[in-house]
Amino acid sequence: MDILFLLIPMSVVLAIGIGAAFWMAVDGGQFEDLDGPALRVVTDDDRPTQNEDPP
Amino acid sequence: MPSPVQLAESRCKHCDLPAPAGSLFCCAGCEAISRSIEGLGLADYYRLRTEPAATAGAPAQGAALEAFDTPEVTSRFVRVDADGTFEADLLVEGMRCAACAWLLEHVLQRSPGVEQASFNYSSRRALVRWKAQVPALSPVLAAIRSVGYAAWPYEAGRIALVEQRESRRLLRRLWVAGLGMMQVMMYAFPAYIAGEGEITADIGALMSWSGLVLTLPVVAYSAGPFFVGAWRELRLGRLGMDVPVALGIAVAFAASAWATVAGTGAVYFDSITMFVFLLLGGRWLELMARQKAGIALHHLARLQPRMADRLRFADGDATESVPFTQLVPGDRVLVRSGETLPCDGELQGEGMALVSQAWLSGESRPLERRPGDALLGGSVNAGRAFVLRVRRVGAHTALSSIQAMMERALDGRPRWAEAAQRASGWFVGAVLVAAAAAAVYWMQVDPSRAVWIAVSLLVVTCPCALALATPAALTVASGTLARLNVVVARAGAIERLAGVTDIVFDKTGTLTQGRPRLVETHVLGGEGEARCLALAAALARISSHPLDRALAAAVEPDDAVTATWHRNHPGDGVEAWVRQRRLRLGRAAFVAALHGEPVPATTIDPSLTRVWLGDEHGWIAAFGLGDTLRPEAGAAIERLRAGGLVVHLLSGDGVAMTGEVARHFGIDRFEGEATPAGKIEYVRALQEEGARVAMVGDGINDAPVLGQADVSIAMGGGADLAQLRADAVLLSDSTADLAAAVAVARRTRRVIRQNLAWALGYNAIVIPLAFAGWVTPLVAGIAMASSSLLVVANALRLRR
Repeated sequence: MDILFLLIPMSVVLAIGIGAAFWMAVDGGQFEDLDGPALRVVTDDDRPTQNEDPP
Repeated sequence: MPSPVQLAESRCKHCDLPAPAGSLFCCAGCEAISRSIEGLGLADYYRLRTEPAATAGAPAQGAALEAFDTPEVTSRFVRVDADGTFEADLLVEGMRCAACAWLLEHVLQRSPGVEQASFNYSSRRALVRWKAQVPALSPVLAAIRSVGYAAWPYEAGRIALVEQRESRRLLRRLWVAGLGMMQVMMYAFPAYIAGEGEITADIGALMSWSGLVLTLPVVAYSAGPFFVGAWRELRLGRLGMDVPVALGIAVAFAASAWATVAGTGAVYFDSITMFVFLLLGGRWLELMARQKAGIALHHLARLQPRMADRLRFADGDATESVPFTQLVPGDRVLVRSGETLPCDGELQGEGMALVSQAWLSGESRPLERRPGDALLGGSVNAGRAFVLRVRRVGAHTALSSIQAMMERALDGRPRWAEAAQRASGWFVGAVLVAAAAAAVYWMQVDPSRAVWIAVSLLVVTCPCALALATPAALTVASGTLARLNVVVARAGAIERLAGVTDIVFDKTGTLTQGRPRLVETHVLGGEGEARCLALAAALARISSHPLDRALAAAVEPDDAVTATWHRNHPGDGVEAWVRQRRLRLGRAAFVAALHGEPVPATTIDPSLTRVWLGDEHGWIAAFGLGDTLRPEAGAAIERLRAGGLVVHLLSGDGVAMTGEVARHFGIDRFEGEATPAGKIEYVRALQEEGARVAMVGDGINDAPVLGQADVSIAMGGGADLAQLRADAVLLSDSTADLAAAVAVARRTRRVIRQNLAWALGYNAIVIPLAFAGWVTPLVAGIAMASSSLLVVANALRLRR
């Protein structure tokens, strides 16, 4: 059971890492519009249009 | 009277409303929009959408698009990039599903000069970047309008940034708490299932310390709002629901941390993290609902450049239409009856003017003003048309007064929310006393359990139905109403609308389309029909009453026949001089008072509204004006009646006409030829019988009676005065929306009562159990948070 002394601290570090990833996703605006992007990707035009996405 | 629209057999391809048999569309507007969508090769929209589109021409635009190109507007709303690209934020009205955003993006990307257009369906906002010679907004707005939506520029800086920061911060807190909860539960779970001695002391300590490390950010960061809220409440000397929550979290964390460090006693990190996560989940739902409801309100406060009629020359009557913002001191502006004064100024010319300053004083009784007197912008002309000399512009425009009205509505707290707030204060006080009593009692019985029982008691009680769910229900309901085109202009309108027993319609414009037209002319004097019409139109042109407008529209303007010295008698008619003849146009009694002749018999159809014209010597002509009934009004009245409401019809129109309309809709209680004073009397009599009256009106005649009613609703197309007086504004002019609004108000009341009943039952059961020590902190956290989620979710049902 000694392995637990390695695995449990690792899980703590992992949880903190995932938290940081979500934090950046929120700041990047990935949760602003939850409906539009789904539709945009499926029904995209064949014709090239400029600047489909905001920079 | 034209027959009502035939029974629908098909539905409009664009908006899904009933369409006449054999036609794809319900109206020419929908057809035009659909054609332009298909012309752009975007017919996919009809396949993608999940909701039907808005009916064409429903929202009134107010101003011509050119008004958005004035430097005053563009300098405020259009940003210029270094490379000469323009950028503007827009609020978009009419988006019903995500496919609308898709459609609009593609429409704009195909219009010349546009480089980028991103539309956000959930916030109803858009960001557009385009290249052009001058920073004019109208080409962009016209492209949006061409496919049936309306858009306004708005300042993204203030509202959007605050909202975005608020929602991102809460989302981050929610994520941290969620991750912490899942992981901490992993460390806590073995202790729940392990038998005596199965977990060695060192592993147990490792689990506790890991839980402590991951609970720390949850308590310090995610639970921050509860501590801040509790501190704020305590400093203000109030007790809100944050106080027991913060106290419970703090005590539980301190005790668990102490147990971890000391190596003895129980730890409850799992309970703490789950409690924080579920509570934040409830707040998140509430915030989303609040922001959605807020979008509808931003739309009302949108910039709407209003136009004024400026007199072009120092003498003469020629006017030009200019935006309010272009007026400068010294200009002379024609203010018609029922219009709002664009700015501060003084009364010009001769004769008295009647203005209402209800926006300032709350008093609707019009005030008499003499020539040279100062008039305040935002006041409403309640009498004849007059000329205003502009003195000050800007700060006191009607625009800012209407925005002030909006802010008043947002600031004012409804009585329900107020009462809930007070009750939750008492409730929390009682909970704190009970927790202290439990701690003292258990100290004597079993000191090792005393802290946890007190914490459980603090955590398990749920004042959320009072403190969280009632305001949430009211906010969500006002958002839902705004989607139904009913904008709540005053706090408390929803609760009063829910209690209404009688609904009184003012016929003009509420049950009919409000666009009367001239049907018949009966010449009574010796003049020809064309001459009679020219005289009537000259008088009618002064007034903004719908009947007069119809008369004016029926004839080509004739400069040879112009009215002077005019005076408006609201509810009766207009009086003016044309070529040394004193003429009156209006109701029979009013015109007869000028010459004293008895009212003659006419051949005009009794179902038409009659407008009489006469001079000092006798009758000149009578005009019959007909109105078209609103096709959807019948079903709406049926719905209102099915909801237990007594429907009344009060009208200033003739008795025969009113009776005809009433019979068509099956309304038993009606009154024709009602004067403003008579309408007030009618409503007051109803109220004395114990009825609570909702008044639906539109015109200038309604303003006083709207004030007398318990709750007043103005149709959006009505005069400005009525809007300022009303508790709610119906933007769509559709009676169907009104019936739906009453239903929403009643559902709101029902949801609030359900929540209160739940809270009462829940707390009555769990508080004694917690006091007796039968509720562990984990169970307490789950129970309280589920109860809180339940009442918020119940309030969110009002979104539909």
